[in-house]
Parts: sequence; structure tokens; C-alpha cells
Amino acid sequence: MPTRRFSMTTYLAFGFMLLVFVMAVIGPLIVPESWLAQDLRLRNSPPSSASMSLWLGTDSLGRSLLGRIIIGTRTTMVIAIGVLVVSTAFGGALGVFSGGASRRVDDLVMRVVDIATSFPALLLAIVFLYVFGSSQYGVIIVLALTRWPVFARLARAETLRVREYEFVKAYRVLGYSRLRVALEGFIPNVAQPIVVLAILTLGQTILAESALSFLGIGVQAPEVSWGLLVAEGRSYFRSAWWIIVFPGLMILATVLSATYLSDYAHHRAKNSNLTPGEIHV
Amino acid sequence: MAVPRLEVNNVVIDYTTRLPGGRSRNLRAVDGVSFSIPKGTTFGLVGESGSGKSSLARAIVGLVAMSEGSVALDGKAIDASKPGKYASRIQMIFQDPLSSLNPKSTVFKAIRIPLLLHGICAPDETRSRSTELLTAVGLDESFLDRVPRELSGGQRQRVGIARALAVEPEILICDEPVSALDVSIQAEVLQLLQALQTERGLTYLFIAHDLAVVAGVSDQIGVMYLGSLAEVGSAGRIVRQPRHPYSRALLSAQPVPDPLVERSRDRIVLHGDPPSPYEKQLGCPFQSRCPLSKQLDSPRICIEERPRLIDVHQSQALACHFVDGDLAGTDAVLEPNRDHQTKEK
Amino acid sequence: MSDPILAIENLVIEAGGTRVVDELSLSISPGEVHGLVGESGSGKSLTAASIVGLLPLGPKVTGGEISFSGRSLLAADDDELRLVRGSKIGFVFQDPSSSLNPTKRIWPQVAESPMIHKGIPAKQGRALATDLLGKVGVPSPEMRSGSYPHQLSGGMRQRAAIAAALSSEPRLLIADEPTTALDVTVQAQILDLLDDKVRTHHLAVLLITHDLGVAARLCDSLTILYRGRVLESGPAEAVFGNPQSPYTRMLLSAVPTLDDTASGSETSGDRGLSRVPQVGPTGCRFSARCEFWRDACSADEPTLTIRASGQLARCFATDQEGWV
Repeated sequence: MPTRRFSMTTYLAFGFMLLVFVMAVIGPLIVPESWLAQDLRLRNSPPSSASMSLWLGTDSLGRSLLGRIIIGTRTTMVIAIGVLVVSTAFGGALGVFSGGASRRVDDLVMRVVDIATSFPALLLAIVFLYVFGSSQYGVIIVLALTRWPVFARLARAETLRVREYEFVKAYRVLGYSRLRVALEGFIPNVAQPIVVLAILTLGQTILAESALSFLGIGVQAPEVSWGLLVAEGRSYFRSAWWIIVFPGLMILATVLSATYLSDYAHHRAKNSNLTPGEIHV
Repeated sequence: MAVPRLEVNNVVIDYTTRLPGGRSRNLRAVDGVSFSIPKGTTFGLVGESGSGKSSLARAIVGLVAMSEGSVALDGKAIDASKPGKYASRIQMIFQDPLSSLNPKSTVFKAIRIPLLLHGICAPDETRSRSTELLTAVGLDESFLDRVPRELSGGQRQRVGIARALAVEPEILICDEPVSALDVSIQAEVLQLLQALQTERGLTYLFIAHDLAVVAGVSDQIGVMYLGSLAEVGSAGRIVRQPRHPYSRALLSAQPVPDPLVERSRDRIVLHGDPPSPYEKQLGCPFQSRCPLSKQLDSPRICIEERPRLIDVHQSQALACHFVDGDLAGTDAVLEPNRDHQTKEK
Repeated sequence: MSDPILAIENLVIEAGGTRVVDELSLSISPGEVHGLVGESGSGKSLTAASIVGLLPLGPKVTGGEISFSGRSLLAADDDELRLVRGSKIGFVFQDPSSSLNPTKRIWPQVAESPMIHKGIPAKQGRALATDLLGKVGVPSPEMRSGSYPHQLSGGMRQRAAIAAALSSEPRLLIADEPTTALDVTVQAQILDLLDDKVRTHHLAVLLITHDLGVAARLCDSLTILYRGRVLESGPAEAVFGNPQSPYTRMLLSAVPTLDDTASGSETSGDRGLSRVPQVGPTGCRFSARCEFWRDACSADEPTLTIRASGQLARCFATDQEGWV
């Protein structure tokens, strides 16, 4: 089987995500205070090479856009990863449980999943955040609530497949408890497809957070996220296009990188269970 | 007479499928099978697809539920409803080397966990114990840290055997352990199994669809057809003097790797396919394809009455309404097989 | 002996940088059944696929020639190949459940080739299919021809597959492990069927199998393949009666026969993996498992030489100046 070459785009994607990760971790530490100070004399300044803080221009309050984007990385990623962790853990666990259980239990759980899927996500988000107030954690919970059914379905499907393997029967005959069969048998084999989907969902989640912030119910000032930046920039789209475009590009680049990485992970997963050089001869 | 190591009594296994509309359909995969295996010997259970042999094997270890019947270990009935309940006494080796090992577990992990689970040895002894087990199956220590993906089919089967032996069982159920292996590897694995049996005094239930494989390793052989035993007896007798028309057809169907012999020998070729196991007829399950029945113009007793397994010899029992008086090539003298012993010369 | 229908010369197939078929040559005449025997990894199925241009992604033919009725198949373009496949060369696959289309009835699949290649109309096609199904031993063929594959048993499906392969009266039939997935009693029926068809139609058959019993039953000549290399080839009686390659001997002794009882057969080797002498890039491929191995075997690879009983074999040990 021709193996996937580690292509240029994969390198770029990896590199970019690494950059994002670094920004998220040390961003708030390295961005100078002055960049984030409000200075109305500089409001809506276009990008210039005059000083580093002005490379991407300033926003409506004179703050460095570059600085805000860097700062905003942490919040954006915390939310995105938070959503991923919660939805994969909860959805994945439920899916494995359902796939490994009896037909009746499985049907019941899948009914619940179906109901969860049919909830209008946006409406739910608006209601929830309105009632409980918008905060990072609120956003994480709301987005996780809309994402987990997908993981549950995938985990269940994979579990059903792995269940047919003879080693599962061997485990039972060896005296493994059902829990152990799930932990040792199902979860490791279900993990790869889940990871592939999770990476893909990362991009989706960032976009969703942006939408919420755009609507004003996501991240609230003084916290910064890319979505919030896009939201702030919408009023100045014609006059100060950079306020919306650069954060938007950031989102685009991250989503694209995540997609490429997910694809790479998928190809690795496909090839990893085969015997090396396995060709039907 | 010593208490047999493993005994199976009148086991019946049904599979029920629910059809849309509320009705259900029943498949009787095993229809009252009994046999016993003395300690340290091998019982070979042979049959084609649909014979029920795999279902029976799985029922013994609790993977499949029995509708009726019982299983006894050393004379004591066991509760075979939960798999793994007797894990330290009965273990199983599986057919498919590709799926019988967890692709994400190393060989060491596969052996280590059962060792710890059943308290066979202390945690710090697991590595050396695992190495011992691997050596016993012909693999060296370097295999411990490998993943199934790096192993060949034969090597994976050996790991499966080592894993089963880790818990020190007395009985091994071998469910077609060599069917998926290359012929040259088959021989190696079979030899391994025999060596292990001698060394450890293991008792085997060996299931296969290949009579020749079974013949080579078994002390006793049982031939199954559509859920019942057609014939049971010592391996030598079943292979050399099969009396049931199905056993004879099965034996005859085995191609011989010698063109001169193979092309000139007489063959018994059955006509038609096995009937659907969903439609259970009243009489003998083999009736529709039985050459003997055709030869006798489909006697009513074959159609109406199910034959019971009756001893025709000290080490042979047969489920057929007729028994041949003479097998040496002269005209068969057919006498009704009633409750008496051998009528042969 | 008539001109060969199929002639393969020094075929080389490479995948991932290694040769999975390494200079294979064989020829089959009309009415001759030739067995290509090998275990997994031998390259036998790839060889069969390459004849009709059906190699999967990855392996590629990089050398040699395949000719059918004198015309090169490797040089043929897609259109020519399509004509040949199905109408002049019939193919029977191993798994009857996946070689038939589950969404179509049996008769259009059986009559597919003549309908496409000879333009026979549907009504006639159905009649033809029914007739063929009857000839391959399917009971109630009128009813069966309208069934779907899942309504038939494995044996029936394989018969239908054979009928389909024979429907356009091909001159060569390639059968890739046609009975491996079947019960042994059904296998006996299918082997009888194939034997009969070969005689009546004077077919040339390339039979791929790992089962020496099946080979003994049907084959007039054999090629024994190990890891892409031909280790022995020739008339069946010669190869079975006086095997010249230690691999052939090992295969023959490893086949469980009914004569062996629980006291064990005479397979050589202990329970473990055989010792592994140096297996370098040179030398005989079978070195690692050969009971007659000596240093000379790893230094150079033996060539195919003709033996007293008429076959070709590749082995230093059993050759004239050898030590066996």
C-alpha cells in the first residue's frame, strides 16, 4: 500500500498548530502592556511598519490588533480544547458503553442521543447563556452539549465493530470483567477514529465560538477571543477592515491546519493495524 | 472407570431471532449432544458449517447460552452461564489469528494481565513467567514487547496458546486453531499442542472441519451434522471403519495429495446442499442427502424417526437406523440398528 | 502437444521495492489443468490478477511477458483487455459471497458476458443462464436463476460463479482458490464439476490453490511457488511422486492425511521456530526453513534445473552433484 508521504502541507499544518499552541501558553506573558493599553489617538489605525505593535493595525480603542490576537489565542484554545475534552470523554464513554451493552440498553441510549441531536443548538446556546450568564465555562458547556452526540455515535459504531473480534471473547473467557474488556479492549481500539474526529472538530468548535461571540453571548470583555475580535470588528468592516480580517484569517488558518492534521491522523490510523507490507498475494 | 475430565450432557442450544412484526424464529443449532472426555485425552469434534460444533464449544465456556443440558467438570456440574467463571480450569484457543489478539496490546500485556488477574504469580514475577510461557510455545523473550501487527499468523496463534496457558487450565477448547494457517505452519502448531498436552496433562476438545487434522491429534472423534452427533468413537475406528453414511462421505471427500491415488479411488459424493437449519424435519437430519437412504429408496423410518446414538461397538456409537454388517467391499448386509451391540463378524 | 493458450515468461511483479513475483514462467495448453501452488505470500494470486490486468493498487508488473493465444496481454490496452476478460478468459474467485453482486439476480450475472460481448438480448440471456445453471448442477434452475445471491448457499453460489465464468465459452479458466471457502463435502462436488467441465470443453485451467489435495485431484502439471520464486514445476506425477524441492517435500509431509493417528506424523522440526541461518539478499529463499540447508545455499541462489523424473527444480541439495 503506498504510504502517505509526510507532505509539505502536513509540515505547515503541524508548524502552525505548534505556533498557536505556543501563543496560547506564553502569549499573555510576552505581549507588552503598552500594546493593550487603550489609546484613542491610535484608534482604527491601519497596519503599518512603524512599530511592531502596529503591524496588524489597531482596533477601535487603539489597542494593538497583533497583541490582542496573541492574547486571544489562549481563551480561544482553552474553549476549543475544553469542548473537545468534555465531549469526547462524555460522548466516547457513553458510546463505548452503549456499543458494549445489550441490544435493549443500546437502543435506549441511542434514543437519548437522537433526542440530543435534534435539539436546535443555537437556541439552546442562547437560552443557556442568557440564563446562566456568558463565561468561558458557560461557552464550553454549551458547545460540548452540542458536540457530544457525534462522538457517542462514532464510539458506539467502532465498539460494535471491535466487539466481533475474537480477542474480546478471549478476554471474557479469561475472566476479564465487562469493565476491563471495555477499558483494555474497546477504548484503545476506538481511540484512533475518535482522535481523528476530535481534531476535525477543533476547527468546527473555534468557528462555533466565534459565532457565539459574534452574537454577543460568547466571550465577554475584558476577556479576548478571536471570535470576539471578529465580533468587534464587524461595525468597522468598511473603514477598518483589518480589525475583522486578521482575526478571521487566524481562525481560517487554524481550522485548515486542524483539517490537514486530522487527515494525516486518519491515514496513519488506517495503516497502523495492518501487518507491514500486507498485500493480498 | 475414572471420572471424565469434561462431560457434556444433552446440550441443546437455540438461537432466537426476532422478526419484524413480533414473531420470532428459532434456530436449533445443537440438538441434544452428549459426550465425555477422559483426563489427558483429546476429543476431536468435526463437522461442516452449520453442524453446531462451534456453538457447542462456546456454550461450554459460557459465551453462548444453553437452552437445555449441562456440562460437568470432574463429575461436578458447572454453571456455564457466565463466561470466565471457570477461567482457571477451562480456556479457549480461537481460530482467527488476525482478531484473536488485541491489536493494541503487546504480547507481554496480553499474558501479564491474566497472570495478575488470577494471582498466578506476583507482579514482579510476571516478566519471567511470561518468558517461560513464550518459551513453552516456541517463541523467545524478544516477542514480549511486540505488537500483533509484527507477528505472523503462526506466531499469533502461539501467543494465543501462551495466553490461555497462563492461567494454568486443565482443559483447552481449541476452536479450529489451525484452519486459518498455512499448511506448513499448521503442522508446527499441531505438534506444539500435542507436546504441551503430554507435558502438562491437558485435556483437549479439538474442533475442526478437517477430518484429517482431527484424526492426527485425537483419541476420540465425534462427527456432527446439523446439530447432532452422527457418530462417536475412538479415532482409529472412526477413521478406519466409519459406519455413518455422513462420516463416510466426509472421509471420502478429503482429497489425497497423491494424484495416482486421488484420481482412481472411489468417491462418495453427496448430492444437494444441507437443508436450512431453520426447517427442522422430524426424521433423520441427514436423510435428504444420505446415499444410503437413497439406495434403500428413502425408507419411512428415515423420514419419520430421528435416530438415536447407539453403541455398535465398545468404542463406537452410531446414530443411524441401519448398520452395515460388513464393510470389506462385499455387498453390505443391512440390518436394522436396534438397541443391541455389534452385529459385525 | 498443442500450442499453449497461455504463456507466462519471466514475469516480475514488484511492490514497495521488493519483487513479490520473481521471474515466473509457465505455460498451459488447451485441456490442461495447471496448478499454481503456494502458501500465503507466495505471489500466486497476484500472478493470476496480473494476467487479466486486475492488479490492486501498489504491485506493478515490471518485467516479463504474458501471452494469450500468442498475443501479448501486458501490451494490450484497456479495450482489448476488456474483450479478453470475460469472453476469452473466465475467472472464478475464492469467495462466492463477494464475487457475486448481491443487488442483482443470478441470471444477469451468469449471462453477463455473452450479453455484453455478443449482444444477446435479455430474454435469450435468461434462457442461457438457466440452461447453464442446470449444467453446473443447480437444482430447479428456472427458479434459481431469478434468485438473489443471498438466497443461495455457498456451494450454489460457487456453481453460479463457475457458470458465469464459462458462459461465453472461454478458452482459459482462471480459478483462484475456488473451493477454499466451501465445506469439504461441497468442495468434492465442485471439484467433480470442474473436472467434468475441463473434459467436455477442453478447457485450459490455471488453478491457484494452497491445497495439495485439490491439486492432486485436478492438476496435470504444477508450479510450486515460494515467496515469489518458482521452486519446482512440472508434471503432477513427477512433482508428487518424486519431489525435488525440499519445500515441496515439506508441504507434502505437512498435509495431514488420514493415515496419521494421534501418535504423530513425521514432520521435521521441533516445536519452536526453526533455526534461522543467515538469510541474505543472495541465496535460496527457502534457506531459513530448509532441512537440507548448507552454506552454499546462502551464498548463491540455485537455478532451475531439469530433473530425472521430468520436472524443473531449484535446489542445490537435490541436484545431481548435491548432497541429497
